[in-house]
Amino acid sequence: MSGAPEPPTHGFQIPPLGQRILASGLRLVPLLVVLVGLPLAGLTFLGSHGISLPVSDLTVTGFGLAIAVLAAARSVVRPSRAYGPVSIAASATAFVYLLVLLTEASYHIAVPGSSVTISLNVARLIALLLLVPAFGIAAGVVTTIEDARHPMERLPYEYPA
Amino acid sequence: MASVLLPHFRRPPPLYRLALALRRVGLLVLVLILLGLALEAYSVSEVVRTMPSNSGFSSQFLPNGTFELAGSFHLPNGGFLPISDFRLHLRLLDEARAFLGESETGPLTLAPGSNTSIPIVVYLPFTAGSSVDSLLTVDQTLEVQVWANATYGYLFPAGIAIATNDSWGAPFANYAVTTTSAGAGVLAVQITYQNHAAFDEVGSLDFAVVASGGATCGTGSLAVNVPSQQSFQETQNVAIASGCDPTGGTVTASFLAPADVVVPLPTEATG
Repeated sequence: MSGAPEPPTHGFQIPPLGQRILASGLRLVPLLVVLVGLPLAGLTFLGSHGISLPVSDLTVTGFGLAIAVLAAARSVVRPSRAYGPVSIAASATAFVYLLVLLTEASYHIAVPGSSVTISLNVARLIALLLLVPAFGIAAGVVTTIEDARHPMERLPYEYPA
Repeated sequence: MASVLLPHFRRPPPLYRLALALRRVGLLVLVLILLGLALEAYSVSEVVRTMPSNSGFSSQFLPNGTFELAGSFHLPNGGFLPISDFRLHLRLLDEARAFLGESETGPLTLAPGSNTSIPIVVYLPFTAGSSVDSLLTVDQTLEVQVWANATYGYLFPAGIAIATNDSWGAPFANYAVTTTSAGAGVLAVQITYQNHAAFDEVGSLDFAVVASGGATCGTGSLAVNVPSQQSFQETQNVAIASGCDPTGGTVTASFLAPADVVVPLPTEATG
């Protein structure tokens, strides 16, 4: 595989750039399905039954696409010093996405053809979910510091020979 | 060769271990949340399978000039998570969408596997000119607004609101009083109505013929024993006090039942 020169491998084996891009590209497919495809299908399904949620297709598509691409890019740059910042960016995007959802966490759904209205508040769930990217951001910060202080220190453990 | 293999057996550096631990904790939190969600979804499906029901409403007059509507909701929680902070609100509106009365129950916690019976009581006081008065004499369609709020499994505050229409049968439907002269100093007072309520009426109708100036010209009392969905029509001759002119006056009446129940009926004009 071609690509940029790889760092010296003292006890570790970094996959070539092309292989990493291919693997990340393959990982991108299920990410797009989970983060974009399924939510859009859910919104469309509910919309076709007269139930509209306050989340727009554009929000779901935009954030889903951004998170999936950044997560894939994270894998590509994993051996480099960009891994920490890209990890932070991916987790921060997910964090902002959840914050956007949190501002519209109360759903009032009028069941079509009846006088029934259901309201659901998912704020607590989203608040809990915020912990996940928060830990991701923290991990990214630690990795960035580690890469700055001790370049390549983690590589033997990330890519054991 | 030994130097190449060495890193595999060395303890990873602290920052690497910290970053790894943070990622794993984040992943663990995600897995736990997803497991919790799956658990809640399954439990909700069990709750939905055991739908709530109501026992139907009974109605009766109370001594303090109030009408009582009472019933209960049976709320089974077939899931394995508690339903906490459960509150049930009920509001009654008349046909013109004027407020009649309301009831609020809660907060309650419905334990997993329990079947809780929640009493609902709505008191409707009869006061002159109020919307509730129309319930006595006018059959109508009432709007019943019910809404419930609860938190399921500590995580999801949810609510449901239902508006339904129920037909109301008035206990003194089409209440009317007619007066005719029955000779010198005697007024024949006829009272008619239909009991469209679900309960029987046993008691008496006490009435007074009142002159336009406010003086009472005469009084009377009719025994009442009207089963549900039956009509009442009785006439009584009332001796008019000398010097009292009922022309242009009114007939005021009240339904009196055991246990000191007094229900004031609409005032009707004489003539």
